[in-house]
Amino acid sequence: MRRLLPLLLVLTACDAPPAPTPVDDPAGWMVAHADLYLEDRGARRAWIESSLWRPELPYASKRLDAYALPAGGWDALPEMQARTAAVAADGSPMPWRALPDDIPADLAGWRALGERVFHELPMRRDAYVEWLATRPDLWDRAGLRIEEGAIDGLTRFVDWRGDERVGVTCALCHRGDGVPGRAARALDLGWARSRYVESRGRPPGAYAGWGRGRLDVTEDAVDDPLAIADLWTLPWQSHINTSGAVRLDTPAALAIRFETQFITGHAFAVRPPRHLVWALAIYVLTLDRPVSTAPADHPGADVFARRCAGCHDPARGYAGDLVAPDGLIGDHGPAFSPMRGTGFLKVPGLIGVGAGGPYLHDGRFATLTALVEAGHPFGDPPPADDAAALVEFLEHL
Amino acid sequence: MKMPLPLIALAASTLFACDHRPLPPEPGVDGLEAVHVSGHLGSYRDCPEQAWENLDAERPNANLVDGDCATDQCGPLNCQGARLTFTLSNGSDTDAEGIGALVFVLDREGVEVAELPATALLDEDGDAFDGRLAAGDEVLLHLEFVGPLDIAALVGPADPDGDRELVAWRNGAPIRLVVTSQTHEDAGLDTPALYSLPEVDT
Ligand code: HEC
Ligand code: HEC
Repeated sequence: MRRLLPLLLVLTACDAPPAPTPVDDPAGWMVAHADLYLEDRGARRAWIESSLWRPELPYASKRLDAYALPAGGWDALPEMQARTAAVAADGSPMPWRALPDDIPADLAGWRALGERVFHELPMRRDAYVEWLATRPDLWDRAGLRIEEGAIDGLTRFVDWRGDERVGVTCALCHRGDGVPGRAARALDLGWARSRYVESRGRPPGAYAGWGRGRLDVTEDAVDDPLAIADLWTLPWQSHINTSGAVRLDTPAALAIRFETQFITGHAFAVRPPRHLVWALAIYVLTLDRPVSTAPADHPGADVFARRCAGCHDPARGYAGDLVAPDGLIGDHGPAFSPMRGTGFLKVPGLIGVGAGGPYLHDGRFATLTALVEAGHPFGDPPPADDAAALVEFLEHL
Repeated sequence: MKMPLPLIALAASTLFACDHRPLPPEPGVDGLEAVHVSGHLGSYRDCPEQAWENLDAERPNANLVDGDCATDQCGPLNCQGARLTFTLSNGSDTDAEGIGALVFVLDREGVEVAELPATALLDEDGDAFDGRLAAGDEVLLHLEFVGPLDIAALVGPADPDGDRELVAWRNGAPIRLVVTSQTHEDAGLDTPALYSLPEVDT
């Protein structure tokens, strides 16, 4: 036993961090806890402290230094205006609409409000997106979609200085093919931005190489674009972001993550009305999900159970907790990013994964076949029959 | 020399009793008080010539606001001046006038390593602040200033070991705000580490 002890210690040290058990009915939990979020600063402070489990990361310390403080900090920012208008494809003015101030009474009300927030509230303003909105010749290549005469994912709003602007909404990145929750894998913002910079006679930056469906989300010197995530398995996830820097101890962590995302997106000048981000979190937790069409006795299900289910839990939308990247084939960069690296990677859910790649955070595998044949996760591919069955099973998830 | 305890006590009490220097004003009670709200170091990746490192005497004040690309000098999104938002209250019973502000970058030890030129002091709605604050009032102010292109070069030595904490540190730095006025003592605050703006936020 004495000789085993050091080994045990090493094992514990390398082990994944403790993962919270997601609450049973996250949307119900949120409806029940709305008052706390809206009225109790101390509750918000406690939630953010427990959710940012690696407080020393700049991603975390930046928020812990500023969110839900007794005085000053981001709570003291004025609220942003929730009055917006769609951006018409033909440039014509669209009617202004305002998100309501009223607190919804029940789950259906919260969800309906959240859906509007997802489509209407500007998460950030980008000068190049504003420019892109005036260049229909580029929309197709950039991956923008037109729906009912408007550019999906763009919104007109009035910024804190009183100027009319164009911003992006959640829908731009999280409503691929018009399906809420699906990552917009065709969207190529790096390309669009390069065109904008070139139109001004300047060489584009590193974003020129992001590729479709990927964005660099950190403010460090490292160029590390990440794939936009599908949002269907949030109710079962213990963590979010590729490196799991945010722990979902409670669903409140999700709302706080959105609140702070709007604050950074508006360059720390305003904050979103809190009932709107609470509604947004309820909406993304209750998104309609693609339903698996693979029969329960599909031969691929068995291969999956043997080789994959240890990390991708079928009872949790095939999501899992965090894993140390040692031995995983692929890039480990995000696990060690200066701003957000926790030393771990999130095991993503696989609902809807058959709708199309590319796969993994850096999009290195174009197809599920390529991913399986390369032997994800540890470089040990299944025998050909098993591989074919597994791919077919995945395609139906 | 050893001093008996009672004597020390006596000396100390006389010291206090005889000290007629005025006590420093208690912040927030009878002077100006600044409280940090938010801030960032801007973003100059698409327009490095506008950053603090590249300012020259002829063109000292690049005034970039909110990626505002009305002018041809500035690129997209990533051209945004730095900004500090704070509340300022006047807890005294006299109106304050001629309020202005200075900004310094602090290094790891809290030492001022550079003054960053302020470009505008704005009120909550983005209009120029008139520099007056009536007794008992509080305002939210935005101070815009020229941020650095590379905060790491400003605040830290290179980190050959790739020390995580140091790497983290070198992506941001605290800012010291000094609020000056014609009528009141200076007020000030040190912010937590501020960072340049991310390209995308999630
Ligand atoms: C400009 C594109 C973009 C916009 C707009 C955007 N996101 Fe994301 N989102 C991303 C990317 C990229 C990631 C992956 C980040 C990572 O892995 O660290 C992500 C990740 C997420 C995640 C974490 C998923 C997981 O499993 O880790 C959630 C939740 C989310 N986004 C919700 C939203 C909501 C709600 C909005 C609107 C407020 C929004 N996003 C707006 C690009 C975007
Ligand atoms: C050791 C834990 C582990 C096991 C076992 C595992 N995975 Fe993964 N899986 C991961 C991690 C971590 C990621 C995310 C890696 C990244 O983004 O770089 C991932 C990503 C994926 C993705 C990409 C999802 C997307 O949206 O891009 C698919 C598909 C996938 N796994 C399928 C499988 C299959 C099939 C198996 C069984 C052959 C399997 N995984 C076994 C940990 C695991």
